[in-house]
Amino acid sequence: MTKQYDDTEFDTPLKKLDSDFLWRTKQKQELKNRIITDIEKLESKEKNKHLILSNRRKRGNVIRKLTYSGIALIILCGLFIGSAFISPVMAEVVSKIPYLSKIFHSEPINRTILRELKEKGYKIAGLGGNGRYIFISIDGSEQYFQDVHEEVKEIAANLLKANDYDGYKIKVERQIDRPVPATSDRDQAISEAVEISYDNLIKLQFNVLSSGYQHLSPNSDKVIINIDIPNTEARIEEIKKIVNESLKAKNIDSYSIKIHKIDLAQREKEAKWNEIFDAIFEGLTAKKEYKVTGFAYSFHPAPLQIIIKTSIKASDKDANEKVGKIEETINEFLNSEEIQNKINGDPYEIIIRGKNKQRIN
Amino acid sequence: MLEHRKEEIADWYDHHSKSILGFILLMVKDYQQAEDLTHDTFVKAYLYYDSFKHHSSEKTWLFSIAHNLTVDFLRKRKPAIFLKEMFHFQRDNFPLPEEIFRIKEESYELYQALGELKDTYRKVIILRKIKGFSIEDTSKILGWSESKVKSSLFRAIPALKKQLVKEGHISDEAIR
Repeated sequence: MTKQYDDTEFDTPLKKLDSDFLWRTKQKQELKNRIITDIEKLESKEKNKHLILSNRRKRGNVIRKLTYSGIALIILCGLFIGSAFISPVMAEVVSKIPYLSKIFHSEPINRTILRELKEKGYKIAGLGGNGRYIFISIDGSEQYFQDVHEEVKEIAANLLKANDYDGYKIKVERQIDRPVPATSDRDQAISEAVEISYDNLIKLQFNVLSSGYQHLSPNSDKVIINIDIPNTEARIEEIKKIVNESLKAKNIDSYSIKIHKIDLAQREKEAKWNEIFDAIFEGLTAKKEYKVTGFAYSFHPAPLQIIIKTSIKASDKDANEKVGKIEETINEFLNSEEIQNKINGDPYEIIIRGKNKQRIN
Repeated sequence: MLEHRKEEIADWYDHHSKSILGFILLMVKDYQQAEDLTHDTFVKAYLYYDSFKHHSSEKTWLFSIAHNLTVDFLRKRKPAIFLKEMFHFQRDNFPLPEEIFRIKEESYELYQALGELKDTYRKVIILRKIKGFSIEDTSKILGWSESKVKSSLFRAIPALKKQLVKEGHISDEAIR
């Protein structure tokens, strides 16, 4: 005989489960405060709305990814080094890996430093850098800064040393929060209108990559509405019409609409180069011997120009040698099989500039 | 206008946050994540306040936001769980920080049994039976048809029963 199923069998205990959840009032209040603070941040910085939502989760993901790729890397390295000890052929291979390829495969030094400091529990507000300096900014009171800034500097210095990096100076600073200026009603209305038109465009199945606005100059009322679309989207007039409507609805005048057509294939190609650029930049600036102070690139006009700024003087007696070394280091990396697979033989040109900003190669 | 929006969200928080947190917690089984997702639910509600059409109660709307965020989160987490199990990391099934959020003893067995059910069963039981949503509201929150809600619940309750038997909290005899 089939058993009759009773839909209400667990009703009472299930209902009770809800009331059996106990949540501390203090915790509830804290979460509320967190939400309200974030909402207020949004009010003042409407544009960054996606940042707040995604920041935290992303960080978790990155950490997780790092952990797993770290584990995998350790295992791989173990195998690799292990085999190098046994086989002279493998040892040969290891020593032939281009210098920049090694950097390409390791965590960027900035991230290593930031991670180490955070793991040690220091309150780090941010970390940045250029070709010569690594800036570390510390959160918290002046007293806290006085207490820890030397330790922080030392830890960072040791990490640089461990990587054989001698090209960076470290600057530790205290983070000072400047008040964010309040958004005017008009700005508020514009950003709402831009948002509404974005939503409308998406609803109407226009292919919009991003939207935003900017003031022509800090004190000017005139704003430019920027809309990014793929260059395959042809309905420009329609897009303008929709944007116009939502701005009109908010009574906004003196603005212009700029529609940027993005070549997605080109953008993808450029994105592939980005990690490669990171490795070149870090590798060349981290060591004093290269005398590299800056880096730039330009995709237009083709071919790709990789511009290396240095402090080499054309009159230096070892100038040619230094320039040659930089070229060789980059070429060796870009011509490695791994990178060639990524860039599919994209042509490039290396331009090295000297101290007086003139090309020296 | 924005001030009003913020006040309304704060008001909603006072009324519904515990219920939403409980729902998410039952789904993700991790207090810290549940709290983060609750945070995101209300921030999202604030951001998309204008798109709330009042076709349903705000509670239903908030739950559907919470549900979407939770599903996204679970989807992203899956590979991580797989790896964890591969490396035999200890699996923590109910990491509830006792001092912050706890469940009374009598309901703990039910909480655990629910945690073992598959996601679709679990959420339909939570929404229909624990949170007491109507079939119509449940279908809105989950984005299912009403008949799917009914048929899933129809299968979910016996599955829950089976789980409780398996864990030895009720005897087979008692069911018949």
